[in-house]
Amino acid sequence: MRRFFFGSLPISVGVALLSFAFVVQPVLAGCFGSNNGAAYSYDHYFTAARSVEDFVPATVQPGRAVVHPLQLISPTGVDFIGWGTAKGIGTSDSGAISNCPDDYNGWNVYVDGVSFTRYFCRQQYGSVGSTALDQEFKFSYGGTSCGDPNFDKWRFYLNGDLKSCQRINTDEGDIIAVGGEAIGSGSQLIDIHFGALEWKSSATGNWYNWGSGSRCEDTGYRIRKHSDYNVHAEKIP
Amino acid sequence: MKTILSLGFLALIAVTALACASGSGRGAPSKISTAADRAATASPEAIPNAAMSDESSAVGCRSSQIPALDPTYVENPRPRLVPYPNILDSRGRLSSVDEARASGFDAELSSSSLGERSLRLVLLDETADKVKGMRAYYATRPITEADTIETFLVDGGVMVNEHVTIGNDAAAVKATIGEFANPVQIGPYEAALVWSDPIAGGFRAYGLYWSDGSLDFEVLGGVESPEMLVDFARSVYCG
Repeated sequence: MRRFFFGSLPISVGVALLSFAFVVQPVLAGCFGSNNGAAYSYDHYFTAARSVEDFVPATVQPGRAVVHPLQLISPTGVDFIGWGTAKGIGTSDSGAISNCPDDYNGWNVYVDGVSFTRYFCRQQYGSVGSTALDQEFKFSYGGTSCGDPNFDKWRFYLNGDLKSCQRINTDEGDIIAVGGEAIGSGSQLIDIHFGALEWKSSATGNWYNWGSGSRCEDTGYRIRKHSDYNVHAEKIP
Repeated sequence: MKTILSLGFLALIAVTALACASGSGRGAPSKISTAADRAATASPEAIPNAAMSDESSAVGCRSSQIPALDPTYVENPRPRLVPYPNILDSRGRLSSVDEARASGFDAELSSSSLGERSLRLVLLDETADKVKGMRAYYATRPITEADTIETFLVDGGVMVNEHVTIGNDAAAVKATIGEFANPVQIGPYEAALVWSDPIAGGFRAYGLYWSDGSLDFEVLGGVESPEMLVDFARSVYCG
């Protein structure tokens, strides 16, 4: 029943390169960990995760470039939450719960995800500057400081400050992920480095590294060689 | 006025004494074993979204028109990095409804028909000392190792996810996604009916969310109509 997320790899963190059915084909590069892997006990799940990000947006053409410093996927696989930094095309086409406007100037910080099967996006947390040096992104479940006196929510922290709260249909994550995305015309190139990737399974528990042996691998798309904690998203026309 | 208050106080004491004598107080079984029991014994204070009158309970058991669903959806979201995980690899231990109940989890399953679909898989979400939740998958065919929630729903599957409450009742769903949460009545409980954003290739599923105060319920279906999902859910409480 239980298998490694990548069955052929003796590690719990692998690489993903996905293509989605958008008008412009995106290129995604990512590393992800799951509670199915050797680095984690079967009893573990994610109630908190954090990453420290910096990146070099060497070339970004019109279109969209996104760095995903942290995503957490629910056990059902539908709902998720994510921190992001983005430049370019936004997602403002679903009214109040998706309000991330286009912005080609700065690298905007946003939160997004799927709550109860509906996509949401909020982009009101400023910018990380051109290199996002040592930016710490975290979310954790718990605490009643998000406007609900009775029940917890997922809380989003940027550099230690609470920035947002969100309900999804779970209090535990099954998979956590980091990565990058580049879409659009022309050359798109982002080098991303994650200085720390950590998780924990209870509010009072210890932080654990994703695993010293973690690495990202080339899966055959046009992704340059990258090493531990380095994700390289690239689109070459 | 003082006399009326005194009589009222005495009446309250008498009612309390009767309740204790009839076994509803200390010494009575504390475990509520079925959704119908929970619905019958729930108090409006404990479950704010519960509509407790016979009239509204009857409404929640009657086939009725589903509110018109807003057709708008997000066309170009910033994507999730991780593909939909394989169902058989997702969190949860392969099990059965009977085992969930034997473990003390008050699992509830609908007795209503889902056409050609039948129960194909049950996964238990466990901690070290208890069962926190259960996911039941109904499909017209066996679930394979290649199946994700995406392929499952696109092929018409229905997933029932029930877990120890984290407060995700209809009001919480409404507060989170606003007008995309459409109110429907499931037995004595208000539920939120949601038309999902596209799961894959434009395919949209239906979701139904409610809580009985002990368990939160989620029913996701790649069904032909939302009415089928609502009727399926209602049979948990309405027989």
